[in-house]
Amino acid sequence: MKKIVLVLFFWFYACEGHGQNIKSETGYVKFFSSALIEDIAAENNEASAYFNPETKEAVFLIPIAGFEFEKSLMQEHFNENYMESDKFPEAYFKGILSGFRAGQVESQAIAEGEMTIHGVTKEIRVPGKIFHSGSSLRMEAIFNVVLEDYQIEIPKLMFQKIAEEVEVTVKFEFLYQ
Amino acid sequence: MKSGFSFLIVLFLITSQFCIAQDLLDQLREKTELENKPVIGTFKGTRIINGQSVETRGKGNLEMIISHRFGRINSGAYNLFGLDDSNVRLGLEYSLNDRLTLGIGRNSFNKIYDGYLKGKIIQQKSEGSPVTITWVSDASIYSLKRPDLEMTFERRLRFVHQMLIARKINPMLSLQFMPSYVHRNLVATASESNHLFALGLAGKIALSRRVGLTGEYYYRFGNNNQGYNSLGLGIEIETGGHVFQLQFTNSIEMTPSGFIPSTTGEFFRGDIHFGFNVSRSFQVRKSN
Repeated sequence: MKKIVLVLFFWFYACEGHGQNIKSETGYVKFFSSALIEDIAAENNEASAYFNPETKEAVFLIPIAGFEFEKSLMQEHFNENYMESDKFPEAYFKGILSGFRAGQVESQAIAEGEMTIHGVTKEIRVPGKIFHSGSSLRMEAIFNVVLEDYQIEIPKLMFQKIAEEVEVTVKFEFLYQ
Repeated sequence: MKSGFSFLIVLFLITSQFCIAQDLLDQLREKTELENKPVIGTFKGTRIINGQSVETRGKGNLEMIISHRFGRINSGAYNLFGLDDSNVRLGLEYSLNDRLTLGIGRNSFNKIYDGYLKGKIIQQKSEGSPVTITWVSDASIYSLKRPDLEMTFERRLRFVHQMLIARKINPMLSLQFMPSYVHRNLVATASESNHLFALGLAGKIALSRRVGLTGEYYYRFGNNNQGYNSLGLGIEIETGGHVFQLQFTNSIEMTPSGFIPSTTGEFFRGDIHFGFNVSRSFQVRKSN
């Protein structure tokens, strides 16, 4: 009985978190796709993230409606027709950043875990870089997302051809408290 | 017992790992608080059938709208069910900002020039205003020569003011009410009033993300109204930058000063015009 109480205690303790989470509130996400008639690009400054340097666990959260386009109509179509942001308002990643070494100025890391976009979850592996300077950590990665993997449909009846793969750039800065 | 215990510990360790990630995600969600976002895409086009929708395009957007209304379907096979006659409206509208749009157009029927100012007053939000309200003030010039009557410039003018109130009830259904006031400086008969009040009703049912069914009806108040109330049913297809609207309506005119007071066709007797609106958007200035 004592043992069970002990185990439960540790389990709750684990759930409470290992304390040392650092947060990023100024995440930057950009996507770019080159298409026949015009390139499509959008930027988002509303992303946020948590990272635990001890366990190397990380979660990244990106509100879909935060993507800003140069053409407002394109932004409407992105939300309405492609991402269905009323049904799926966010994209997120949760997993482990393996390869991260605390104290190293620059480390090559690999984000391994689950990415959820458009309500579809996929296991991914994304290489990136983590820069450590003083009291902050900066993470950068560039990777490709295949729209079909996340069931984002490209209609046949389109005048603008849309690429089936988009390039995503992410930059997050974390501050040690 | 011992192995069972260590198995439990391993199990707890695994679940606690999962627990942390999920917990962190929920914490982020709490802080991000998906903001109060405007409800977009109440209608696909800035028109529903003949009349305006609450939609205004974003800043710096230039929209070209080409509309056709063919002759009456019940004019028979000799006229290819109306396709031999064609009335065209060429229109351009420019959005000064996300709420204010200026538009001009030229109609072949009665050689009417029209211009309007359209402003979005209230935007429907996910939490906040339940409706979008847009004001439209439209002026048009009837420029057809009438040798039988001395046509001064004043006599050629017509004005319409409309308050468009719309709600996207769910992703499938949008409804719009259009209280409207029409003033014509010259009317066809002495018994007709220069003033006319009308209430429009319109709706859209989305069949898919890009295709929808639309309907529009204007009820006119008063007893001495000539002709019929304007009614239209259509289908709209959005293809990214273009909106195609195909419709059947008893009105031949495409400006509110025409189709609200002077629709001459009786829909249910087959006085129906097939027609379409095709719009194309160009971003001529940066939107931000």
